[in-house]
Amino acid sequence: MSIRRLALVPALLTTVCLSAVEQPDAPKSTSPSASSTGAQIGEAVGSGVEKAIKSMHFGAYGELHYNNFQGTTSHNGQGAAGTNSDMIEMHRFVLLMEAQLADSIRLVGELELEHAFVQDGQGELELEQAYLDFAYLDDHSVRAGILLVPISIGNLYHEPTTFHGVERSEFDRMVVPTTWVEGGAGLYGQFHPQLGYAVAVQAAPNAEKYRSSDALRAGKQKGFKSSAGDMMVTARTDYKPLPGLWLAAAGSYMQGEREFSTVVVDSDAFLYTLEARYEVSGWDAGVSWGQGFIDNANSHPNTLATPTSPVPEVFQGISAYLAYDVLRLFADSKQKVSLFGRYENIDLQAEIPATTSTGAPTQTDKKQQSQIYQIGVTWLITPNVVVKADYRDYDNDADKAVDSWNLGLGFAF
Amino acid sequence: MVLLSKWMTFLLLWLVATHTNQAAEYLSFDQALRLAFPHSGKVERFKPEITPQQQQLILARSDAKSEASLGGIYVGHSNGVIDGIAIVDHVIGRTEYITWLCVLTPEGAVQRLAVMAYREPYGSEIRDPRFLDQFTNKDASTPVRVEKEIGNIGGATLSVNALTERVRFILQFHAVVLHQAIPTWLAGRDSPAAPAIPNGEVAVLTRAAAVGTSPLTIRISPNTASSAQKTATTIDHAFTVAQTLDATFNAWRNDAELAALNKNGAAVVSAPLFEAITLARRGFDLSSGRFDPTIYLLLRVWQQAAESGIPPTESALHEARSRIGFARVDIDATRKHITLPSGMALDLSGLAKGLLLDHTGAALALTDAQSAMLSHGGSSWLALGKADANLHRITIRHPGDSTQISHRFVLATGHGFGSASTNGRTLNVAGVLHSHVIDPLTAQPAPLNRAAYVIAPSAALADVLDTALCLMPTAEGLALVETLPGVAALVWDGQQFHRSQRWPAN
Repeated sequence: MSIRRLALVPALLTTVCLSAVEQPDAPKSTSPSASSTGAQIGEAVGSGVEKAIKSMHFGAYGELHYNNFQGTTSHNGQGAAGTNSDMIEMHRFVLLMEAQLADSIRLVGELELEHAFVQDGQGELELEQAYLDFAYLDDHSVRAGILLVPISIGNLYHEPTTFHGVERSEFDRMVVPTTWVEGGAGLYGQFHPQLGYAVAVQAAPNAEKYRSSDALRAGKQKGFKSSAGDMMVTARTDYKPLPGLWLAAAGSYMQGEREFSTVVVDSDAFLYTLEARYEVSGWDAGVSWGQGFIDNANSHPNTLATPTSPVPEVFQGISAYLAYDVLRLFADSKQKVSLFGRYENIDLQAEIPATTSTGAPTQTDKKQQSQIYQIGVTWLITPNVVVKADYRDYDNDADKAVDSWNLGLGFAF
Repeated sequence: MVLLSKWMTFLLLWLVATHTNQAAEYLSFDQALRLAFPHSGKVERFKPEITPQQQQLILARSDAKSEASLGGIYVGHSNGVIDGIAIVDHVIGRTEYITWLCVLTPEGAVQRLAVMAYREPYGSEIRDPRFLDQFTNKDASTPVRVEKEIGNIGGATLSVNALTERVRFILQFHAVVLHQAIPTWLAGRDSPAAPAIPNGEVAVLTRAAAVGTSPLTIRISPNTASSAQKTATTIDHAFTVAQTLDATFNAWRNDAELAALNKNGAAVVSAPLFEAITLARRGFDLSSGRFDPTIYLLLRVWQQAAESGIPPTESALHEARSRIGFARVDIDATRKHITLPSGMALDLSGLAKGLLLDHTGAALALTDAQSAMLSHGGSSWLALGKADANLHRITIRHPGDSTQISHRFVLATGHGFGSASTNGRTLNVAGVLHSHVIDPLTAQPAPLNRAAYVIAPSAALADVLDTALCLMPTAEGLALVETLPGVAALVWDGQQFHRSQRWPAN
């Protein structure tokens, strides 16, 4: 008997007259045909499986992007495969499956196809999430499996209907390498309806691959035969003191000790994010700040290989947006047409090593500072379907960035 | 690391082995019902019949997609009066059902929401009271939209949307179905009195009992454990006062003082009856003779016409008219002596409910922190004590379509509210429906489909004026209202509303 049930006993004892009142109807199955099929299968293989099959839910999200680049030299790490041309693609298509395996155990799986197909190192088919959730108390559970790293809001909530702009913010690509998933386990829950937490132990990124152009991103192992030699601990808290207001803080400490035959890496890393969102009266504002620290950047193999483009000691970025639903000025509608503006300042080499054994980087070697000005429109046709358009003015110190205008169509359910 | 993984494995195995319940359950069914009805004589499940037309109307008005029926509708009632309505419902957040409770006032406004069980991995923040409290007081006339009236919770948007849509559905369900179906269902049901003192703390203490032919309801808020006994005592006293007054004014009770006056034609009357007659005289004067408690003889002609199926003759109406007229009643203020012309009878029901409320309210001993709302027969209201936007809220259903709420406002404390309509009761004379409200100036029934709503410094004055405004030409009635301090009125002429300048905004 669970703790909670024990607590209910006195309450039940005091209830005499009300227990005679007829109970409410149980919810009806959303898909009667599926459940009857489940029952047939279940009869053959046992009631536990029958229950699990009956409880299965499917969902999906996806986004179709069109990127029109205003230049030909580079595409900020994006762009059409092998060329410098404009691009149209189904950037992501994700199938979500959930099932209740036992009263206390839920399976959550998300299978993601990125860039539409997989061939010769192009595109990705990945398990975006696959975990078992064990609820051991009301509002508290343990999860184990492939988990989203509970770092930025944008890593945990990345469906296209949840953010402005066709592409995710550069903050959520470069400072936080979303979508960031790793194998591990964690404790998740709510101390209070306004105060949530998560603590996860997962495989750390491959520290050997940290580099100047995108900090931690190349090190992501994505649960693919992930090395568990280095572990990462992430702690997070979400505070929602008022409807519409969301404050979040998170930090990840990553071990980074690798010994290979040719190189030695000893670069632990720490990344934290501080974020605020506020939605009120048609306004939607948000700011995200993140800062990362990499140990021993001066002796990191990528620094030693190219001292003029060193792995940073500190990388950081800020992203802020303001949006307003203009449709509410003209019509009483459940749709939303939000105009938004976003400013981002990302510096992936905020601090660089002063000296290395193969050469001394100078301050002029810091070329990973970017400023992005973005304006656009987000049209939520329903809470589940979104059409987006934006223009992104992208400058960076390396002078390689190009501006773009983008169109997107997304859904999530 | 090895130690950690071993520990984790152990923890997971322990959880699998011991654990039985996935859904976070915050409120059991019994706890939910106790929360909804802390102080009711009886709680019963009600299963309404719904026509496809009603279902369509509800969906269209609530802008809801889900046609799923409500999990269970519960009515708490005492002494034949509805204390509240609770709906235990299931709604899909993202993929899983949220089980939740919606408590409505008898008038159909949200009293409170509570999440009973939540099953999704994310989004359980919707049980935050600061989110749920945003719905309080919403009703079928108020928009309930995410990011407009209802602030969203980041990361729980789907659950917020689902719950908000379902609240809209329930509010329209009440307006279209429950607001008429529940009183019909309750009539004639066994409805025991609530216990005198509630078990534990009750935000709003409600007591109801029949006074005359209508229920008198007294609601007092707040009630702490320490004040419960005192509140129960003062309510008992107030009901005694109300019963005594009913025995004074109620012309339909053989033992009433008014019945004796009507029988004998003259008497020295008690102070309350004298007050009632004086007030009736004021109403008569203010309305240029249209509010007339001596109307009975004329009404009787029309009632006989309805019984016989033969429309009344001009001469019968003329004869009846000549025998009525409040100006002919002799009122001796010094001796409180009343003399009625031969054959005349007084019917004070046009102001009795309001005056009864004023006296009952005066008998209530409230603490400085308490508010009270009294109502009699659903047509007369009195707000007392500390101003309370929840307790003192008045909801007016559209007189042309009772499934809609046309106005709502907070009655200022110390003020009364009265409503009257000309089609509350009708007389069928040879197949033609007439209002039972007769205009003493023309001897003809008032036009059907008129309604009047009056706010006044006393419930009695509001009661007098609502009847008068049903009979007076709209412009003349509203012009009268503007001359009376503290009075505001709303008149429905069958086509549209007309309001006086002081009528409160919705």
